[in-house]
Amino acid sequence: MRKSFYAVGAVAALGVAGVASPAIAAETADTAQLSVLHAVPDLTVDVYVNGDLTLDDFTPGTLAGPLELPAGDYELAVTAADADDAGAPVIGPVTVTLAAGGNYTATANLDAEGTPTANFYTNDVSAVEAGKARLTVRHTAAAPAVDVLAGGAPVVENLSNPDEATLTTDPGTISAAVAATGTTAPVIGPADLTLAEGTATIVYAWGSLEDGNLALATQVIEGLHSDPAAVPGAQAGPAQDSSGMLLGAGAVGLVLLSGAAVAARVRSSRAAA
Amino acid sequence: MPAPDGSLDAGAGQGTSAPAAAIPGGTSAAGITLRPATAGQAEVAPPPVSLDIEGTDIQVDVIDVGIAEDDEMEIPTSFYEAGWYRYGPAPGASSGNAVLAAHIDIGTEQMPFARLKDVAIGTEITVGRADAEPVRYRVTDVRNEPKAALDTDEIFRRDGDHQLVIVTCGGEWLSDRADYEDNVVLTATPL
Repeated sequence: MRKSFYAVGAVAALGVAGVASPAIAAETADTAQLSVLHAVPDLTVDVYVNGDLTLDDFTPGTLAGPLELPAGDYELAVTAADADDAGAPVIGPVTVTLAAGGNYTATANLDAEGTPTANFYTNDVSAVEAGKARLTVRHTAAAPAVDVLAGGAPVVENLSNPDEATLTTDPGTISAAVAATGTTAPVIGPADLTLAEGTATIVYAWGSLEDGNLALATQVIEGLHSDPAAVPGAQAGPAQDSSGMLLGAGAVGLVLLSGAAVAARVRSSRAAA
Repeated sequence: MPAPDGSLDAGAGQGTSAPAAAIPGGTSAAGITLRPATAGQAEVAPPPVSLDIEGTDIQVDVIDVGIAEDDEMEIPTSFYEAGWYRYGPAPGASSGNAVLAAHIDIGTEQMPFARLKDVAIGTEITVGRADAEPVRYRVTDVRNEPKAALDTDEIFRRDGDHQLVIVTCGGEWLSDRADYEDNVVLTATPL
């Protein structure tokens, strides 16, 4: 039986400009959220889901969704923009499994050799520690392994298509660039990238090195913040005969947050094609 | 997988078009949200710079603060400054709680925020903002909440009706724990 995407279109349209709201997903535990990124340069396509035309004349660099869908298996196929149906896909068909409560991004992109393909990524929508931001980098470009630089220093090293790396870092605006692994000469950027506290920012390196059209695409998932654990509103007063105990107990140091990224991890994405 | 007839060769476009060129956002015919996958610009709300609670000594500067290393809210060291939790809504926001916090002085309790617990319901509060009109609030609640049971989910909520929440310490000094028993939590709604 076909599952129609049209039935859920109205739900998807409630989302704010491509920004997922995991709170909504949490309330409807039997659904999943799916975004679709078009990352094949110079190619307008149609996207079929379970044989139904879902994205018509989908252009490169566009992010669609998130769609809120019942958990289950879905068949995705990408065709030329003038195709009559999903019968002659240029990518796929591939079957993806959406688990209840999950958040996913399917990408149409180039593999390392420049052939159009599809990848299916699971987005980490777990809570982000208070005062931090999550950054995920995905290599979906026709290019060799790369390093991702922040302020000129590598924060992710030796990332290959279609792998991803995730790290937790301080929020703020970083100067992001991508370089061939082991080098610092940018092949993409540098470009300012704002990482907001309590959000997950997913950056895709896409395009083709050979064709000179490498670029970054960005997806943001909001609402993953945590609250401070406590409000320590007391310290020894200036008039006080400050015993060590009171000072030690009450003084709250201003602690500069480390600028270094923590907890970097790299894992392979699940290639769906 | 290989393109069936080579028509999908990504090299066909000579790479002259920038993939990230602006694409108008909108919705597809099926009602699916579409947008260019480019980095969004963060909304910057005017930050608070001063706090004045009518009829009290609490007339202090406000600085923005974040998280201390122990996962607690960072608090200014000066007794004459309040910290605004910069990751949550700002005073004057349309939704969520703007949270300010400051220290009281242990034992002596002579500094301005030691009197937060005595602020009367209905008192007017003015928050000055950088490059924006001040915003005014009226106090609706002042209470002591045991630190062990502080409802941080409610205090730091980022959605729902907008309020101003001001937090400091209060209640009994517990020498065995070297800490005050309570937080004093003042809540005010926009005027």
